Amino acid sequence: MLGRRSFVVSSAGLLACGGSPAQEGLAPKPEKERPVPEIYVVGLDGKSSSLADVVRGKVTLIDLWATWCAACRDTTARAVRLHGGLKDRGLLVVGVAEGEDIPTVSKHLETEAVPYPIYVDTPFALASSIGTTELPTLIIADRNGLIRKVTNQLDANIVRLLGVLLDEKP
Amino acid sequence: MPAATSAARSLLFVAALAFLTIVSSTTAHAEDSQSLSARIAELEETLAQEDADEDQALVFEEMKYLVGFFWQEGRGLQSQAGVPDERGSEDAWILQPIAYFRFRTGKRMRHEISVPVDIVSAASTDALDIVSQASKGTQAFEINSTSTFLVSDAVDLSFKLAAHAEENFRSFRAGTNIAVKLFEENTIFGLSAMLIADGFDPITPAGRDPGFAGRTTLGVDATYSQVLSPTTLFDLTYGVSDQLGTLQTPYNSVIVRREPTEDDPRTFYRTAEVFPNNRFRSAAGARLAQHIPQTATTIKLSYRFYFDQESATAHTTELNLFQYIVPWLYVNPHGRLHHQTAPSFWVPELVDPIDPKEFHTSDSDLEAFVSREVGLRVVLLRDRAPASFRDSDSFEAGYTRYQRDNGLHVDYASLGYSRTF
Repeated sequence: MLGRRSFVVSSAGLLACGGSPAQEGLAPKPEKERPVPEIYVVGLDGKSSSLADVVRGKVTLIDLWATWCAACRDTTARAVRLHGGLKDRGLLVVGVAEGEDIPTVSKHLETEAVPYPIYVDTPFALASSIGTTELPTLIIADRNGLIRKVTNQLDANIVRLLGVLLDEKP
Repeated sequence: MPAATSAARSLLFVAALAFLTIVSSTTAHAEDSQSLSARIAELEETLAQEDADEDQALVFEEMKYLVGFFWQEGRGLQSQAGVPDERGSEDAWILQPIAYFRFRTGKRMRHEISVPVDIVSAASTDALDIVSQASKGTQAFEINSTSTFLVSDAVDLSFKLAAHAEENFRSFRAGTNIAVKLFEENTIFGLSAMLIADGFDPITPAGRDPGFAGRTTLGVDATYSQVLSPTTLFDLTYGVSDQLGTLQTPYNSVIVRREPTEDDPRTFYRTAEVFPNNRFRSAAGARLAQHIPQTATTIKLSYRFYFDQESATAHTTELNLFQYIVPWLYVNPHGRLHHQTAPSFWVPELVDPIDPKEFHTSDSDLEAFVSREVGLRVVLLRDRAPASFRDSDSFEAGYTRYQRDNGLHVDYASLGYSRTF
């Protein structure tokens, strides 16, 4: 549930996750609503899809994560619970593995499977386009494909927001 | 009329059907909303309760254990070990185990504690051992703590405390740091202040004990950190420090040449180094870090410029490369080039008679020199390893070679283990 601000901050030099105190904080929040970016993500079957097409017409929770990110595990566990509790109410949960490749993610999911679709974004295109530099990051989009919130805390406030969005008439 | 009546009936039927459909739809939506609200409320309560529990918790997040071994060989004019009127030995080894812990008490309070212990073969090579055994071997113990309060999403406030003890030397440090995060955390301004108080019982090279001595250092640093892109980070730092008190190293000496006389045939003797009791120092630095996702490479390039009121300057350039071989194993070669000039009061030797109040030192650490450092670390991150091998710990091994052109070189080898919880 903790975040970090830069891909290059960590000693290992890759996308950072988890928390050192000085670098912890929320992910960037959009100044105003903007559409889910028209970027392509790759499914575990190797097929490319437009993320905007994937989320079109659905209230969506997009979880940006990585296999090595310890802090992402808590968030993913919560995303799985939201998926279980709200999928039949129209919630779409999508996981996007940032900076990773299909074999690595597939191997990871053999032991830590999730019930919702997982995509791979090797070149960090999604993270770059929304301007976030932390993992985990969560994007909440409404049925019109507009981003309503970017955060790295999947807490009660996000659940409340999802409830409002799901209750909005299509 | 019958046709008109029939049409009216049809219209009435359609209207009734539409009304019923709307009522039914509205009722269904109301029921849906009610059901959705109940589920949302349940999930909200569960997560809020979990977060509240977490906010109360004492949670250990990480522990590290690192063992480093320094092997130093060199010759310095300040040392009288060996031939007494030439550069003396600076040979020493240091075994340095370090334990590090990170934990939090609630979501907004984080703590880091590190405990390095130095076991040194010779802290003051061939110094006089009247009150100290430091020339034979010494042990140093230190504890550092940093507590950070996350005041808000935009402000962190840290407090640092440290204590150091060895033989006849004690040091205490207290400091604070504030970090302000702006523009969606892409910009961070930091300001820190540190007060260091040292106390020690110096013995001069001639064996005189001038009594208890102390020095105080106040340092202030400002940092500016800017995320230029998700893979590019730029940092600027500027710091000043003001030292007051006894700044010389008590066992360091300076060679004094003299004309022999009938009464005193010596051609030289050694005198204690003398420092000004106030030194004001400044340093400015810049660092650029670039990650290249396509090759899983990160390059960190930094430059630091140092200057002080005694005309000493130093330029330091450092290059760090982080190269992932596989997602759970990376190598970190690094290189460092350092060039410094000596302060105005550095001398290779003095000529008798000397002014005992005049500042002078022959310390090889302050001499003009060029140093080069190269090293390699290998880090294995098991939390990113294949499932059959995965665990929440990591291992590292490193070796560094440091070489100065004034005759000193240091080999440093380290082994580390860390675990996250």
